[in-house]
Amino acid sequence: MTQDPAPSAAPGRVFSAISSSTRHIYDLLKCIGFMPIANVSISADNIRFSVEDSHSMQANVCLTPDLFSSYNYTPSTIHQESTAAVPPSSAEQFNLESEESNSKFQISLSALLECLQIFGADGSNNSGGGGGNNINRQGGAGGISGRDNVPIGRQQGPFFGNPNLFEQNNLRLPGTCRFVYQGNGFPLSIILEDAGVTTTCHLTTFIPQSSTDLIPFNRSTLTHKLILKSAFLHDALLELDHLSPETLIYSVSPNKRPNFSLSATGILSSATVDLSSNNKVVMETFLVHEEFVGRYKFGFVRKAMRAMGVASKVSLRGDGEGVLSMQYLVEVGEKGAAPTFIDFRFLPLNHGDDYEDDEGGGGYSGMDGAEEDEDGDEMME
Amino acid sequence: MSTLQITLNPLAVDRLHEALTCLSKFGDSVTLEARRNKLNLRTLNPTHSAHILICLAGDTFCDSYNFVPDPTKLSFGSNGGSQVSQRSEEGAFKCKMNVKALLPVFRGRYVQEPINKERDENVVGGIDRCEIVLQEKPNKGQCRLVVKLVCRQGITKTFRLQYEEADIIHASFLKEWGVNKWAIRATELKKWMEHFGPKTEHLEIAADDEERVNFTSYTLKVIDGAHILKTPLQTSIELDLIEFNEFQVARDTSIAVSVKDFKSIVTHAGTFEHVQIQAVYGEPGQPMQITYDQNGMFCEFTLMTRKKGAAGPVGKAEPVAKIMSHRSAVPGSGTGSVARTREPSVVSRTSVTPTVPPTASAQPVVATKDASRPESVPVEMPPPPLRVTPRGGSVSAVPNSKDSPALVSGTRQSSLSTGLRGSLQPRQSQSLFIMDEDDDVFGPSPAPAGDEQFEALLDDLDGEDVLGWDASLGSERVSFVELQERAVNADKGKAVAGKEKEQREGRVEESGSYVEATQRKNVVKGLFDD
Repeated sequence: MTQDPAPSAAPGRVFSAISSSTRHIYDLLKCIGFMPIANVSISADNIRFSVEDSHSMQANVCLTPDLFSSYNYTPSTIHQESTAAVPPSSAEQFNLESEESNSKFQISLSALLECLQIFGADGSNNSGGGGGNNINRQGGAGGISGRDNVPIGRQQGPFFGNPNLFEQNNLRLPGTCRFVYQGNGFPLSIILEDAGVTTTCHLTTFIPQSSTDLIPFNRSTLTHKLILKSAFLHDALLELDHLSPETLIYSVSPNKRPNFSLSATGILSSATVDLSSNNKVVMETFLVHEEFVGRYKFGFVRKAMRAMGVASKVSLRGDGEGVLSMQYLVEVGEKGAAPTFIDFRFLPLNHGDDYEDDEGGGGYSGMDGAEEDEDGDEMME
Repeated sequence: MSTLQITLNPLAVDRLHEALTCLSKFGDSVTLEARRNKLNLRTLNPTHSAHILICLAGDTFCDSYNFVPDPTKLSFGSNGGSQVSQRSEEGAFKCKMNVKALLPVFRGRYVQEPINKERDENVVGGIDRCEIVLQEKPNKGQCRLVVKLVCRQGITKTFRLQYEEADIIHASFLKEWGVNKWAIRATELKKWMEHFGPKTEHLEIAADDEERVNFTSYTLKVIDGAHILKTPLQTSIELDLIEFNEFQVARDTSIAVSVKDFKSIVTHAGTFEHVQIQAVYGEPGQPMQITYDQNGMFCEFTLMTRKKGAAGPVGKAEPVAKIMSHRSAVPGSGTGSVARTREPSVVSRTSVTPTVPPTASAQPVVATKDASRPESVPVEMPPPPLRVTPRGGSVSAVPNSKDSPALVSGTRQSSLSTGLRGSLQPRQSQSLFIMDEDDDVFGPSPAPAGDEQFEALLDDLDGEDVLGWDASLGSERVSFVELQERAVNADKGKAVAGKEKEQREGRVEESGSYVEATQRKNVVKGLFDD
């Protein structure tokens, strides 16, 4: 699976990108940092990180060349260097040229986030990479040990580990961060050069286990498409999160009010947040072809909340199978730069599950007392 | 089905959240009691040493308040035909909820201005109004308190909160106990609270001389067996009497309450502007009552104070004795406490001068003497014909209760708390609380004419020191005597059947309106044996 991170006869670089600041990269990757392992796919257009949980949800971040001051991907090199290592891939190249020309590997996302953090990307939060970070440390540990190459070595370690130091000297000399990948079997190297100090992290790469296809989302059976300000969705889910619910009920209706409602049931109470489709401040686009009610595991949706927090807009789409797609538009640092998208897809829960109680909460639409009969009946079951 | 509809403005929601935060520091559950013109929130802490009542006035606190009692319950109560049932069967709606479920509903709803000017349109949070509606459909198995938050930008958040039925538990605080009182601005007191360390347990309030009051926080930790005595930190703060708006405390009176409780109260009071905290208390071992109100929210805290000489486990009383030198250590005196009940009345809060009747003024002394008597349990058995508590009891209660026989006297005896003695703080052994559905605590707002009469009536009753307890909506009553028997029997495991009979007979002779006593007693036993 893995090879020694010390490249003896260094081949040409397959991928190399330079960024003057790792902060926005860190912020973006942190949004999907809930899983320890990420699939990385590098192409000439972008570098894509994707994670998935239980084959039921999936999240992608595409880092476009805009985020880097220089971005070089030379797939020709990969052919020269790696066809020998991976013979079968050459045969398929003809069919799936665009796909196969990508470099694909798996990487420890938690370790990558830690590296970026060491570089001072994260000023405020030094608590590590959140949820899944501790699960898979071994990859990261091997990678970070590459810091021994650094002239200053370990003595600087604690200082690098303290992000406050970086925050204090807000002058922040424009150090450069380089991402280098040399092809299959080689590590992903992150090199920080800052005022004569060079820090290098080698992150072990893994061969992708299987085809990690996207959760299929059928655009031809699109039931609805909503674009709204992400902050409102975030606020709504925060409300529901207080109940620590199991299930999120997501319902969209073309004409019946409320047009868009999210509800959940916890142990002590249930809650519904209704958003009106009329208010253009909240809802930019509201296209609903048919009524759509989906149940999703709240634990999965909760993982998207970090992205919700940083994004400015979100596009919500559902297909005929009940798959929910959330696309977050994140405006990254520099003005005028093209926004970055973080994409989430969720598989719905089976309808056979016994969530009658939730139905009552979901069907609730007001306090006028007139509509209470139908959900009252459901409660009797 | 009761109807309850409340509308609150964002500021009131914020106030409500602060009140709930305060309640959550005392206990996990909050009891809601909706009455015609007010909503009462109560919490009793797990050790039953503190009771908090927060009363929201229907017209001044709420933008709109509409409560229509359950008509079935009303008719139920009118069967009794007595005064008790009339006033307790107002049909108040009572329920109990987990305060943790309520807190997030009201948290952070008041947003003054956009946090981020750049995204002022995107300001989330902040509401236009809050509507609380009771959805009571017992036959359908769907009873919820529905809180609907109408937010900006056309967003509606609806919370459907589960509740359970609950009996109202009432703090007992006798007017006669309120011999000492002082009042101080909350902000003034709050300034000093932070000096009391977080690990200290008790706060002693002592008025040793004529000029200043001493607040001392101390810890009383005695580790059994290992001979470790920890009294790590004592903080004393002396406040000049000038700081107090009112100060009437008997010389050398010092009481001790829990620091944590006191701090929680002061913290909450400090969230109001220009609010004045009023504290009323008597001897150590008798409860202390702290009240304040503003903008239609009335808060009343009843805290048990440490009993004289009660110093944790028997034989480890020394540290207290040092600190509070006037205390006499009498082991086991914790059992001798007597619960007295009384409706908090308008008079006790509003009048500055003590309204203690002449007979009552002498009673606290009696009470303490009795309390320090080691073998106290036998004394708790009252002479059968008299419906008086043996200690701290006011003799004046007897003739009055004769006059109004339907006013059933009852008190909650300390059967439960006596069992806890030794492992818990002695002050808990006093049963401070009674179950009661009548709690006509003064609504800060002027009540309708009917209510005024009603409250006046209550006050009369208060003056006469009538004890009231009704466990089951007035349909069944238990006399005080029976309760006491229960308690004693439970404690001692003795069957005092003869005496019971005697007492019952005596009572029946006294007032013919008591029937079916045995059955009711069973009910009561169930309550106490929990």
